[in-house]
Amino acid sequence: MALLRARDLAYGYDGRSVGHGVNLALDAGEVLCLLGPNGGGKTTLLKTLVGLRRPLAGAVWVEDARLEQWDAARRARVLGFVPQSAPAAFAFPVRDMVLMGRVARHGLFARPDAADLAAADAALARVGISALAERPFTAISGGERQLVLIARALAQEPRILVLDEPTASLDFANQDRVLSLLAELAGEGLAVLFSTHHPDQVFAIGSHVAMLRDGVLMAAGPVGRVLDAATLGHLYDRSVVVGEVEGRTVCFTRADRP
Amino acid sequence: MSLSTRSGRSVWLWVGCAAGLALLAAGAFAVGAYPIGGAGLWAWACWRLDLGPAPAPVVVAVIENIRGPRILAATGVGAALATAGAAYQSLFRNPLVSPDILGVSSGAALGAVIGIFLALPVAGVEATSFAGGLLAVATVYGVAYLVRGHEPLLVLVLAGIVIGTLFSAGISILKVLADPYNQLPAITFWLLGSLAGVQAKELALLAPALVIGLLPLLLLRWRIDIMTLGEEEARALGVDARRVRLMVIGAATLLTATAVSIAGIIGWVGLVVPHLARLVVGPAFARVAPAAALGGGAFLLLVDTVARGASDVEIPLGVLTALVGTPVFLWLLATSRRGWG
Repeated sequence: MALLRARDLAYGYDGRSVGHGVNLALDAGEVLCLLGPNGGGKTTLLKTLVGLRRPLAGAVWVEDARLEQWDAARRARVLGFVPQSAPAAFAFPVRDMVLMGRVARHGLFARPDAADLAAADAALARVGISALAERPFTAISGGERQLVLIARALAQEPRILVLDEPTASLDFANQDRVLSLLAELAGEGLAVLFSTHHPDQVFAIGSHVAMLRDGVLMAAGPVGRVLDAATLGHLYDRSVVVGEVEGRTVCFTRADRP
Repeated sequence: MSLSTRSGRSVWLWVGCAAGLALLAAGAFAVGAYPIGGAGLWAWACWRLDLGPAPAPVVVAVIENIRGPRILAATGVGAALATAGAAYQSLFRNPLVSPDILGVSSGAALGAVIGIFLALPVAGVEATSFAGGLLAVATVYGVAYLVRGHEPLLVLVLAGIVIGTLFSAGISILKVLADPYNQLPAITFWLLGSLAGVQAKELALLAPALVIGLLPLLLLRWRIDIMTLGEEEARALGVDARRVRLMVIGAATLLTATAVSIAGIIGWVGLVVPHLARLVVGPAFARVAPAAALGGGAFLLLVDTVARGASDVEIPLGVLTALVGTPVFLWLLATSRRGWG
């Protein structure tokens, strides 16, 4: 039985439908990448998959449980979600931001304990931002914030990690670092699902891919079977070249339309 | 200052603040028509502890019936307003909101004005004021519930402004209808904010309301920090955002309505004090709340002492807090560029 599964999922917000008929499965150790043009409904789909939005139809299952029936704390102990950005109103130190990932493990009136601190520091170290621990979250760069949000999700110690464009505001080196980290985490048995605009990243670390266009899955399955120049060209309405450079698969678009 | 760094230094900071507040209170006893200095207070304390002879009856009367209740009320009302403000600011993710949002102050004020208009006794006025404050929040919540599908906090704030305006209109109507010789002056002075009439029995109302309002806020301190990330992120981290929001608004509204029912409308304390507290102790609510409570209590005690000591006529508290609050607020606005507190 898959760890995370969407069955005939219709999703949207404010009663407005964004997409429908989504069937997906994700298992421990897999890296599922969500590709698709802007405005195709990727963020809304991810939020529905982690239980932040109610499905309009169908359901999301975590093993044999319907996600909708879980309370927020139970959900957060299994599913870690990294949003695209986090506008911060107050200048919490980075370590406190990461500590917040521990809240689901405690009662309503609790405050973080020593074990939480250790988990937060371990998460900071894992993402390689221990040096930022005391800096105010409002005073660091957008890319650094994204790393903090990833560390916070790791502090949740989830079984499934869902990330919404985790590399969007990262520099070249940090993109590579985050991708390696995600691959490592999957190697340790975490189920990883992330959306991206770079098919290269899918070739690099993805085990599975889902291609979303206009709210409908155009194609989904193992990367080796589904992702090629033809499907990419169809997804983005561009002619796409896929090739090998030093053993790695790379791709780029051609100016002319197919 | 991080949640994770706790030093002995911060303990001494709190002890120092509390001692400062106590000194301020002792100083406040020395201001007034019958000044009571340290010796008088000491004699009274010894007598109360069965350690010495009774002081003059007038000293006992001033301490226990006149100045004591007023000093306690000023401290309690200031602490209530500032802590409520801190909670609203965290919950609404905006360091510029105050207890006036959600229409609490207007609702409590309308309730009190109705009480005065109906010539109810003091306790009755407090009850109607409290009911008005809660009614305002319930109405605002009801409106926000009916207008779903938008950013929930924005709807709450806007509904608060609209309902607050409606309640203010209600106050104006009652002012027009009120007897211009007795009721109108009473209503006007009450609306300007004053602790002149505070009696010991009103403290009996203030004390439990303070405890019932402050306790959940202090207990929810970590969850309140997480609510500053916004509702969706708080839910993603496993916080039952709806329940926490309801508890925080309920507690902060109780604090605000109690303060308004005792002292009238006193602006700025709930806005400026928590803001300054955040600048000093950082954004963690576990520290902001006690800092705001101490700071708010000390500030209003100071203002009230000036109000009754500066001239023969008592200056309305709302006027004084506005005189202090406006420049401080403008200074904050000008100096904070990004990353509030």
